[in-house]
Amino acid sequence: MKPVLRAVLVCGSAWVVYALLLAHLSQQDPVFGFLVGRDWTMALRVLLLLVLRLFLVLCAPAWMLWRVVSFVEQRWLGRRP
Amino acid sequence: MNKNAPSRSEEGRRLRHLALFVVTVLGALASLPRVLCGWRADAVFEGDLAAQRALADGVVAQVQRRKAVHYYSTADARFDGQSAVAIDQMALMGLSQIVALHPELGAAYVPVMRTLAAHLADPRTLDYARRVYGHHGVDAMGPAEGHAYLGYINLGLGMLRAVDPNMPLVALHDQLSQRLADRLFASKTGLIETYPGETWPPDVAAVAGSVGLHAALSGRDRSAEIAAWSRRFAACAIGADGYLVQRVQSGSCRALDAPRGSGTAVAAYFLSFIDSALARRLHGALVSSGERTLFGFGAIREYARGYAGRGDLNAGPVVLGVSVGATGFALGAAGVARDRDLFRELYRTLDLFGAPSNLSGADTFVVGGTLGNALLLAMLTARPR
Repeated sequence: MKPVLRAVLVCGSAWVVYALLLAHLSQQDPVFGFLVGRDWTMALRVLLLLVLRLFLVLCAPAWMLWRVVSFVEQRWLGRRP
Repeated sequence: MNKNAPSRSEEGRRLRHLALFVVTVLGALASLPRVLCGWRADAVFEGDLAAQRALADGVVAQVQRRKAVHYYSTADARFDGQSAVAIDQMALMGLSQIVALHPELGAAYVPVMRTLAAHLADPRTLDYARRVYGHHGVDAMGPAEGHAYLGYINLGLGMLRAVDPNMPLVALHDQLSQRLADRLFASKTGLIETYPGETWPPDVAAVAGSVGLHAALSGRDRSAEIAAWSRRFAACAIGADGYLVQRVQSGSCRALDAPRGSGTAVAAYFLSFIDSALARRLHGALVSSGERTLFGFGAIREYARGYAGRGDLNAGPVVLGVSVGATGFALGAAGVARDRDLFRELYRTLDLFGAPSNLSGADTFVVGGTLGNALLLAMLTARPR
């Protein structure tokens, strides 16, 4: 069960950071901040937001599903990892 | 025999484990992200009241934060003015499309739309036009002057008039429409200049759309003039892959830029107000030549085959040949063509990279800022007239 829990913890933490960053950036205008202010930290914040979103939408579901499938395989099909 | 070598049954188990891993990951990639990113697409496509209201409220909150003449104050007067015109016009178009579908929302949004229209028609908003022509087209237009940037302003005014027939700017809308129609229908190429020495077919599509919308609102029959203009425009400005050429030499049909997806997609939306067949032709080109899909996510190629480039402010970043601008504007082309499949695929990509947020019931795409959200409001709510 440990790998499943690890996956849940990592994905849950990523989701919390993503939600906080999303709430913060919702109050800003990234286009304005970058074009007008030449605010490179804004560009980095948006980049981090996108990396987290790509992880949460593309990688996290596949990873969680694999952990569950792997657990089931080990339990019922008798594979010893 | 080596005792450490895996037995046949152990090797079989490893192979089965690997196969299970590949099937699980590919199956998850092919099925889960498209659901996570696309579950709202149908509601938006169908014009669901709650979905449209949430989008509208997000844009209204953003445009009401403007404190000066421009939304963005950079050192580039052209960008500042054009971005302000684009925000006001696209917000007007989106809100008008929503009110047309849900008239009960008129009381909430028409006052905001009137403010946007007044700002849009204020010559100070696009002071760059006054600098290059010596006067703004809202005030005066010389006989040989194109002023095609007025297409965006006039289209915005027309969209307000469509839901608010007694708007204060009716006389200006009539006047601009007449002046632009005179220039458009008299042009041998079907094109007019945006600024001196600059002719951009997507801008001309906005002019034409505004003229078509005015004719529909005023009940004037311009079908013969429109049919003749459409033939000239298509012959001059449609290039490889059925894409619209982004820029041509003034007074001729000689291309100065490639046929581009961003211009084609936004023109398909604008032209739906004047010639639905021509709009469908451009939409068809986007689907047959421009669309790229992976795991249910769609995007539109920026350059026609045989051309390459890095894009520009209109296209936004070009990544792996597809552009942000072409993909975003193609949502509008899909909306007016009622192409649900294309809309869904593009919406998933928008949702994935746009980082949607819902605070206080208002939907915004965090990455888009005020400009991106105004553009998306118009594209996501586009419907055939």
